[in-house]
Amino acid sequence: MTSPRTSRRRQFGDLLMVAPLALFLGTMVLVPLVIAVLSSVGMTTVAPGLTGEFTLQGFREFFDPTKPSLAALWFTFKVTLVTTAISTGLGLALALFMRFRRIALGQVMSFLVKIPLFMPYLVTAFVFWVLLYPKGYIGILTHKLLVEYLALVEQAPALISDPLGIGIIVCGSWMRFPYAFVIIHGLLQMIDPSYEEAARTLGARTGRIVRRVYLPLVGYGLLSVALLNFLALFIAFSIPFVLGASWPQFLSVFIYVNAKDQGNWLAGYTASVVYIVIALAIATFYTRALQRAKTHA
Amino acid sequence: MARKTKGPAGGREGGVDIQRPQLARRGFIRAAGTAALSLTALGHVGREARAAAFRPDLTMEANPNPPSAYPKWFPSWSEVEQLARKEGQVQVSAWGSAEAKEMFNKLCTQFERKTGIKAVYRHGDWFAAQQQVLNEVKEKKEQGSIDAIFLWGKPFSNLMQGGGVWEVPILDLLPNARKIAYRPELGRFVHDMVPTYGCFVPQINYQDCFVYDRKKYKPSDMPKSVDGVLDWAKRHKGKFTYCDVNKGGSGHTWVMMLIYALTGGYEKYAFRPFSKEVAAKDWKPLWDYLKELEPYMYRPGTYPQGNNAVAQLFSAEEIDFCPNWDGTMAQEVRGGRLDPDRLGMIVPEPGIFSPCDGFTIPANAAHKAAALLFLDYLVSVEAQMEVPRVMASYPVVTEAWDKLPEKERQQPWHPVQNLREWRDLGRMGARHGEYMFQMMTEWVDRIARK
Amino acid sequence: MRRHRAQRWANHAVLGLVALLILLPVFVVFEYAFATKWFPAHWWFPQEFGMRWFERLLGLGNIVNAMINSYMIAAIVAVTTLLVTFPAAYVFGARTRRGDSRLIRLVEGFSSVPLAFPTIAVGIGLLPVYAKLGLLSSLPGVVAAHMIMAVPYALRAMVGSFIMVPPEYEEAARNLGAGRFYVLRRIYLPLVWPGVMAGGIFAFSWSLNEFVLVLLLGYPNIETIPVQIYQFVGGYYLHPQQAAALGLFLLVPTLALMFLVERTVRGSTVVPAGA
Repeated sequence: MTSPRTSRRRQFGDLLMVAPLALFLGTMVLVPLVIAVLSSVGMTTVAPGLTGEFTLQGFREFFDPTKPSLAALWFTFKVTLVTTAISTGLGLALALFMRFRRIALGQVMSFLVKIPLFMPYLVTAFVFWVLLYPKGYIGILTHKLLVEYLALVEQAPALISDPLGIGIIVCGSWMRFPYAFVIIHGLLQMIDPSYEEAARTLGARTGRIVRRVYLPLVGYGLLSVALLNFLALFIAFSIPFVLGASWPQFLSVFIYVNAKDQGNWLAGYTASVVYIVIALAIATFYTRALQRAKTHA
Repeated sequence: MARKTKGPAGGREGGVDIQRPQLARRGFIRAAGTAALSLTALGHVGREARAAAFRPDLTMEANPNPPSAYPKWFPSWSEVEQLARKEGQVQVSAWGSAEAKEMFNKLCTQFERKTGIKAVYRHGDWFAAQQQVLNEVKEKKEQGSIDAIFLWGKPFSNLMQGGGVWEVPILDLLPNARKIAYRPELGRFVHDMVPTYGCFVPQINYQDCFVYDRKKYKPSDMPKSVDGVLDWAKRHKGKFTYCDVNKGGSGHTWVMMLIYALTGGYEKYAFRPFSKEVAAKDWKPLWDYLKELEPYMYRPGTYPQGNNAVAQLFSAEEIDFCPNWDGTMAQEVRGGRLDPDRLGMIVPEPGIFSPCDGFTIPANAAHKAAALLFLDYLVSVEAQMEVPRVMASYPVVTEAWDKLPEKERQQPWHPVQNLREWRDLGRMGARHGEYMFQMMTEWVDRIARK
Repeated sequence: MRRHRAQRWANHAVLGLVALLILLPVFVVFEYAFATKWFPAHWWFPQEFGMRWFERLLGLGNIVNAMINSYMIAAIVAVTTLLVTFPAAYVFGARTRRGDSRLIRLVEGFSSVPLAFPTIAVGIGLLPVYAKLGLLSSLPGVVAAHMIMAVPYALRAMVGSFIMVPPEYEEAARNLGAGRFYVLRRIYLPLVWPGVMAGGIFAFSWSLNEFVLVLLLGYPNIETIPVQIYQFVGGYYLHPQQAAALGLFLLVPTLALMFLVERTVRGSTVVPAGA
């Protein structure tokens, strides 16, 4: 038990420790954020086409169902969700596999798995273009498999510039699964193996151990990875720019084409504000979950 | 005689005639030479120009820079040279492919060797460079960090509106600019009908073409006109594609030509104010055409994301026919991805626009005289010969093309050999920027949307 | 015994598949970087290999300078990011800290905002601010801009590790009279080291890859390799071989560096080896 005085002192100490971060966020994030919000209602002149006068036209156009922006938002959300699930799931599966099989992450593997983290985004996007297009290795393989051997279809589906976003999903999953793996594997290493042994002696099977022992323990990490992957893919630009379709457009590409090429910065900033609102909503959910994770862990 | 200029740039009433520099009195010049090149002296020109709302469609109606707005003098060219040497350096900003970087690097080195003036080249991004200038001007930074900036239509228009352009008819000051082919599209306005008021010096002339497989087809098998694509595609299902109009110029330039061909002709649009009604009322034939075309295209419903994506599909023999740029196809051949014997290039009737990118001098450039000298060098015959050599596009100075060895002119990516006859005397035209952006926005909704 | 061997084979098969998945795109980058002739319609592999694209890139200049810039900025970003986020991650993550102060929660929630802030919008927003502060085209300016995105990454990686530390450790140390600084340095740091390394590496890799902010805020003095790649893969113009070759200028030294770090700082890497 701590006395109120110690508790107050502690709280003050905590504030002091958070202060550098708060100061940094306050200057480097809050300022551009305020500028972005003001720009989305036309009230700055930071970019060409912004007049400095208040207008809600950007939001009216963004939420106009006849315009492509809402469809772009929905498409972006769907594709991002699928990619997050695949990349996080893959990372988790691999980390658990290595844990159960007691495979030591040797130097080579530990080195290999980090490669996607250091591939320049644009190069990655372009490499997947040449892998997935009909004359690329994956393109040829898909054709041979679906058309020639299984004879399921007459023509293999387009893997790039396709309306389902297959190219984006494949490339995004490749880029993000190491993040999931690295964090979850690291957290699993911190768990005492005696937990698993105890569960096993009590007769628990692998599935139950995963659900009852590991998932609660790495819950926070998993959530955090999923959030990071979701947000990183949500605003990704290079991948959808190279691999995306003409319809539906990825929101970041929509912003780029509208703002940079056509000079419609009102639309650009409106979409940015929509992005940020979604991020804040997710962050709130995340902070709540964190509090819960802290009490459960 | 060199070309007569129309519009504001000539400044004839002001007694400023760069062709007769002796008219300017030496003593007066010495006192005013520096001032002539400074922003302060010419500030009111800029204000005047900005006061008239900048609209591309004003070109033929009003003159935003009345001759009275100009000072009564301009320095002679030898005065500019002297001043440039005093400034000692020029900061050049451009962007583009690896080839562009190579070309500008080379030209800067050659310029330095020739004049002794240091040319610092920065290869960047058009948007970043534009924002840099606009920002510096807004912050009233008098010694800007860019002296000569490479642009296309939109950033030029943005800079003009933001007061970032040194509003002096530089094109008429440069002795070498007189060699630029006599076409209004080469200097009087940037490619999207954005008037330049002489503040823009064209450097390169790209050509969008019909690209076809020469091994499989004879030129006579290919469409003769811009709207002949549909018939061809019907006869060769799955062998044609064009890139997403929002992701590459080869696609939107061809669709712009279709607008003119199918909805009332070039004259209906050229230099006329933009009207949303025209687009809403008269563009049905265009959308019908593109919708009818889609099922006969390569992998219907998917549009390659960019000029290079289309070019790579062509190299991989996935398609036999597409619109694309001369330089893009040359990159494929030079990159060892495309068999040059397959590459056939033609320009259909009545031609596809060939836009020009070029330079302007920012309002707050610290070395304006050196920049003038540099731009003059860029349009010299020697420097212009590097454009087809490195960039695989046409030079703006036809003499440079004529002087190229026969072998270099006959590269497969050049659709036309007799540039003088075909370009300088033929029809060129330009894209209407506002209609183009309207089309690009609507295309997503009407063609790409499923 | 046989079962054991079968399991070992299965292990190898899974790891082999993972390695293949990771290496296929990397292999293609190498293929392109060295391919001087490749007609893809008839050939599965390049017909001719050579060093042409590397020679050309080196001829264009600035590569070495851009490489130095890339690594220097990434290293500074990683270190400063860790300095700013480590104490905060302790407050957010350690279970002895209740972290229920409103202000602290607000800061924590707000730290996620940059993750969904399109970099181009950040850049445009910062341009006028930087111009006023004289930070344009300066190293501190670019570092600070990169930290915007690096901070939330590093924070998430570290908070996870702090949560995993049993609260009894800190309480015991405290009862023995240890101070806050001592607890952080001697109790937590060794335990959360993997998280710290992960955070540092994420910050490093993010900064190493970023090009929009450098383009907007670093021009013309600061140029990095990703900026050069962007210039070659800008959408309107793309040179696959040169982009691939440039990518190797970034990828190969980074991997070599990672490999060295793993060898020299045993047990302190992102993924604790052999644990």
